[in-house]
Amino acid sequence: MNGIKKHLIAAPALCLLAGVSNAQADTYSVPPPLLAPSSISAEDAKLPIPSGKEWDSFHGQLSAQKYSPLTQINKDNVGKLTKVWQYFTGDMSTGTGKIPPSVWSATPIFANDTLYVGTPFYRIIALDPESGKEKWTYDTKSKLVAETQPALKSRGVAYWQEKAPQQGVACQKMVYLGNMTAQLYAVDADTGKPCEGFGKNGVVDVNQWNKVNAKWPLSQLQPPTVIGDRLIVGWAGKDWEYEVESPGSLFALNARTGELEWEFKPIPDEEAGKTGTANIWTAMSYDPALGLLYIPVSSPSPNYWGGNRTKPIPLGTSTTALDINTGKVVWSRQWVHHDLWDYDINSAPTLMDITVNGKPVAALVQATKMGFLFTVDRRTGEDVWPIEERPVPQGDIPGEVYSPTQPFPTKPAPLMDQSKKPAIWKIADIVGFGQCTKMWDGLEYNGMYSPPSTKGNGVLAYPDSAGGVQWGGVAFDPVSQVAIVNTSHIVQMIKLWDRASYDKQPKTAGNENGFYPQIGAPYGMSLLNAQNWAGMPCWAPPFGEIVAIDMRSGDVKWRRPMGAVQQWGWYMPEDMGSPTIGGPAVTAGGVVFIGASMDAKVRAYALDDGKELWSDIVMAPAVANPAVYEYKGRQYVAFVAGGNSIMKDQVGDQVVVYALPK
Amino acid sequence: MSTSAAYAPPRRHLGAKIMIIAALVALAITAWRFFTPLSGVTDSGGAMTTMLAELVLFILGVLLVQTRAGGLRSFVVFLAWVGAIGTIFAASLLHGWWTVAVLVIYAVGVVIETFGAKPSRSAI
Repeated sequence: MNGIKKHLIAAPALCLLAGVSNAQADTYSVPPPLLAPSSISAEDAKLPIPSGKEWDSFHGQLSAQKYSPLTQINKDNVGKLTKVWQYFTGDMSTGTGKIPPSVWSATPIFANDTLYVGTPFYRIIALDPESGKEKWTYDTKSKLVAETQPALKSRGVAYWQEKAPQQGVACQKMVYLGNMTAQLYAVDADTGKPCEGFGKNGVVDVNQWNKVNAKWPLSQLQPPTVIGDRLIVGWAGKDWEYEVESPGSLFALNARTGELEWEFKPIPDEEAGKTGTANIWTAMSYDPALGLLYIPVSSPSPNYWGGNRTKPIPLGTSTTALDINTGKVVWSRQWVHHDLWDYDINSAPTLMDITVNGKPVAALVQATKMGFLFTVDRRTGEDVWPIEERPVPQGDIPGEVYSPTQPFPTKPAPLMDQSKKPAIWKIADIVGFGQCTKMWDGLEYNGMYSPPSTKGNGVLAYPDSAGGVQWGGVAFDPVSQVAIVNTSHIVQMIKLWDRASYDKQPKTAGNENGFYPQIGAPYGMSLLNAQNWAGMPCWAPPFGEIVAIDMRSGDVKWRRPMGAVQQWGWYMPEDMGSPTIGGPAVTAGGVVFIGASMDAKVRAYALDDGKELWSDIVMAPAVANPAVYEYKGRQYVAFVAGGNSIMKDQVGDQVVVYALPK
Repeated sequence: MSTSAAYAPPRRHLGAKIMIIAALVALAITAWRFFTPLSGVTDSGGAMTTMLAELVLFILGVLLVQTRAGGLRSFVVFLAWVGAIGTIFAASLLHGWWTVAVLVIYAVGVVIETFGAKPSRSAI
């Protein structure tokens, strides 16, 4: 670990350890929060309100606010929005042929007067932002093999440019795209030709740094986060496969040359031989005034058993702030101690300046799969509203240890009520001839953080690892100080199988649903949706919501079911909502744009009251954040409709752009 | 000379004709949505099932033109009722509001066939 000790304040008085020293403390001791002092006031740390016409990074801005200051499209006229162009990349697969299925979660990037997308077949496409006409394409000629994932995946491209780019000089502006086999490509943003000075002939092999427990390549599915002249590069792996895997690492590369500047390791070297992952596979955020990079760290391996990692791994399943120049830890908050649920921290924390009790707060909000929104001071990592360590259920798997407590935020309230077993959806139970009731009776559940079990149907997981908030994260309107977040309410059953029993099971591993071996561990595991024979969810709706939170008080401003479940073409009523993957963008025009729902629609909601103002049908669920940009005086909203098999088997290759009629 | 009714006047089968036309129109609309990209139900099993149901509704209309009073006709009317209600429900789940409107017209045809003048049982 990179000098963590130097940069931590191991201040027990600040640690939320009350109640931790209970009966389990002799087997697992909860690591204290790693906090930092700050000499910069909240006023001085204030982020400028975004003012640009561009959407030049995955979340629009490095603060991850997903906020556009544009007002041409507003809540009064958004109903007139029309499709101005669409573009089909051709890069999609249903998985029925030789090519694995595609999952496309890219945010279109608008920069350099061009709209850039990266596809799950690992091509870069540059489009005219006004007409959708192709400017150039670049094919990485990657092998279309799903080496580390159940599908071919991409979350698109990143963009960088010199502070003062010289006209006619190649690679003063670059577009980056990674692939499944850990290759990171850089091409000239004007021509699409490889940048020879980047890595070897325009390619950096990120896998060259995969030196510990290497079993699979460090897949480059999330575009790098571009900060100044650095690329911050995480990776995705095959984290359900093995007990011992590549330990998480984050690389800072020179944006021009691809040379490694620093590496950060969330897992201590002495533990790395026993476990793995705790990687950073999603977007990150950055505060330029503080020089802090905020990284969402996933869980250590294997995902659902921790007998190999009984010593605390304090940075696993955390939000950690790093010094951008050195990669050293400044502060860190662990959101799940000894994670046994695959509750990876999966979205970039959203940085926001809020006023709480009349005082300015430089805040950071971390959305989670658990449906919690943790709010801390982004300078120090300290709580904005109290985050309490509360006792949680304990398990009885031999060799396992259990954290006696877990952190619970007191505000904002959880996005769903995880405190009790979800109610059964009676219609599903009737259709299933009581199947749901029997299932519920056979599921252990002792409250939030009930640990995985070998008994009965296993343990009920709510929200499950695909539930809560996914990589779309939280959007924020800095003017009204309202945060917007979409959430999924999904129930799954986690069961551990001893090796002999696991080997007898039919292995049907899908995307977040199926059997996974955890090779090397004494237990394989299954993660199955709680459904009846007809595929109907056994838990009561809503299945997904969009929620607005007034961040001055932490209270919910409004919430509503979002989208509709759609199966075999049939739409369920919209008051049931839909599971959601992807996220929102919010504009100064008072509009929230979002796809994310199972019914493959994109929608606009009013920021002030949540009223649905507009919708359109797209090719597949838009499982990414939209981009909002202005070009030649006209405001556009762009979505990628690519689909995700976690939701349903509907794939797309559509880039679709809307604007007001001329 | 036979005392039985040797001749039943030809009936117009207004209700059945409405059913036939409405079922064909509904089938055409659903097929259009099934084959048109970005309709929301393109290539979906639900749209295909609804098309099959509309085809069955069409056949039921044809059968009503062909059959005269009796148990078979009553059974066909019963099937038409069940089919119309079920298909309206299926079409509404597809958000096919034009299809629903057309199927309501189909249901009017079924009402006419159910409660209107019955075709005579022919006798020899």
